[in-house]
Amino acid sequence: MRTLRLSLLGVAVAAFVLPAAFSDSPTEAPTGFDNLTNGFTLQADFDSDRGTFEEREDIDEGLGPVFNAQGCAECHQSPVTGAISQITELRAGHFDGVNFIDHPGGSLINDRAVDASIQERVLGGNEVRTFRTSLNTLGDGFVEAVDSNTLVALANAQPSNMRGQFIEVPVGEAGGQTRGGRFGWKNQHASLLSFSADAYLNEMGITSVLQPNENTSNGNSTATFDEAADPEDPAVPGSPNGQDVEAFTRFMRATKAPPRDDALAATADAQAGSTLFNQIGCRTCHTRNITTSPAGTVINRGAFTVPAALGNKIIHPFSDFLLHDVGTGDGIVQNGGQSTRNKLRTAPLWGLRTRPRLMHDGETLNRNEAILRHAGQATSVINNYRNLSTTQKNQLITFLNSL
Amino acid sequence: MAGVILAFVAIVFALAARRGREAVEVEPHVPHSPGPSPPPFAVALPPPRPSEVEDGLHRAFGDTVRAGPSPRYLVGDFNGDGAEDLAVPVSPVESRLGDLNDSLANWNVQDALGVPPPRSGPAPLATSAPVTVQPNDVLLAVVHGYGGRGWRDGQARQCYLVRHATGAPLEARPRSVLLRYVEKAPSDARLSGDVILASAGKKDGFVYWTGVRYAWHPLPKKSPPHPALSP
Repeated sequence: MRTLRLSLLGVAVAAFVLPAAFSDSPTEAPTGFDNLTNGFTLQADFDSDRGTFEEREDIDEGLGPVFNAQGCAECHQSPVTGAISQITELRAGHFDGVNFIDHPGGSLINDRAVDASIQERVLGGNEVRTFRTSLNTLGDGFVEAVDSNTLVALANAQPSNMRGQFIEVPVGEAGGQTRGGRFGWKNQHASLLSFSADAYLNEMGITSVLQPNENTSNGNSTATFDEAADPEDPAVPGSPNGQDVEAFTRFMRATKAPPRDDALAATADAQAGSTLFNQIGCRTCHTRNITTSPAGTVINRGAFTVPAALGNKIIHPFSDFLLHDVGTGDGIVQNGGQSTRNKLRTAPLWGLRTRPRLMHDGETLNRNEAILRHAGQATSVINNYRNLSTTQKNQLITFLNSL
Repeated sequence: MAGVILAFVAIVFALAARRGREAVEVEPHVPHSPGPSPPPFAVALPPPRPSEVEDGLHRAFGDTVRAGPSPRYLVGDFNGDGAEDLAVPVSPVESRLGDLNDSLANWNVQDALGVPPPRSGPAPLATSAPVTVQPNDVLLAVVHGYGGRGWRDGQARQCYLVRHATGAPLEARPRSVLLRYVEKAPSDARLSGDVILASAGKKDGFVYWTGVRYAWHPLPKKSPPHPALSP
């Protein structure tokens, strides 16, 4: 009798455990503006990495010679470290009627320098100019964990006249092999490690293993003003890509996704606005739900394995992470080819309520004007918006303000 | 005892199976298109008929404005996207001023003289008050075109009402020609498309698209005037 009871108990345990063990059901990604880890790292490590992300660099640590900011958090801070700010960066170049040509020294015009004589400025003949607002990095670990094929599937599901462009960009830590771009206004990066090294160089002027060469000033060498030996964030035991670059990467991978304003989202107006958002077609590009790759998936061309904290998670970025021409430019080509000149990544709307300045250049100051500024591939959707009543427009905007 | 062993073995197998299911992201094969975007909509459209202009205005603004006071219209690629746009001096319908100035209106009211000079670095912390339509205003109504049919397309509804943009001579010119003539061209002007020659007060100048709004820029006084300024 006792044996029978134990056998039944064992079968019962197996019945509970086996489905759980085999289950592939995705779960919601954690969200919060709370400076807490999503589980990718321990809280103590997260706090330490956040400290590195907030650190202000000086000239003797490699800052500059040309740069935009002294620390990551200067641009990624509100309401918590890793989010957004009002800071914009400046890009410029020339369009010859067929192709975009980089400004001498590259399209990024750094706004600061360690010496007045090397301050970059827009030179004559470079009539394409644009500002780019600082992007949110919270939840980017989940975005990195999205399979490139998921992005392609999103594009394929879109109507042909609204279809987004998927581009493949080099993954620095994988020897330049390519992967589907998803970070930056032009989708110029696919991995957070490559993105971190790029930003460390281009925003702070600090070289690292993946970005070992200093920027010029309008194409002229800045070596005379460079006090630290390159790479300024060198490889060390345990951190082959540089301690700082790896800390930035770990920090972003460990951030939670931006949360909704639950109280506002629960209102009747926001819920009606959410329905309108779907009905008029906003969700075609501002994709509501994406599921990340399963834990254990090797991504970034072999350079990273999706951990349990990031794998099989449902995120709500309100973006398809594809490039679209919605009539706003910005006229700049980075590494997506000339066909991307007037295309921009669909702005993820998670955390939108923290943004007073809208669109890629921050030049639009209210939700209605931002919506009406969309044209090109978004024309039919925006015309649907124009056909809404004032009450419905307010409901839609209430919904947007809950994001 | 057998049940416990069975459960244990099942759990071990299940976990082992999960661990063994490591996948590798396989990059999709997507044809890359590194070439430039195709030249958009290089189609010669016929001159507009007055009824088409009326239709275009009505599609964008409903019955909130009327063409005039003098009948006139311009066509050109004012926002540089390759599609033909329409520009018409209009007067507000006084009974619709509330709708014209509604914060959720389907158009954007701008002042060509109120555009701050192009800036660099962080965006400014303060902005001017919203521009509103006044009863006696004469505004430039601009309807941006869509696709090959431009402003005639039924989808062409992106539109602007621009104050201080209707002074004489009110003529469209290719902006590439004009900007070469202007020694200090506005740094936020784009080279493609057209501009609108229009005086403001007693100064000659032109209205151009910045990418966000319409702005006015003075022309230098030169004699004889550049051919670009001739009708």
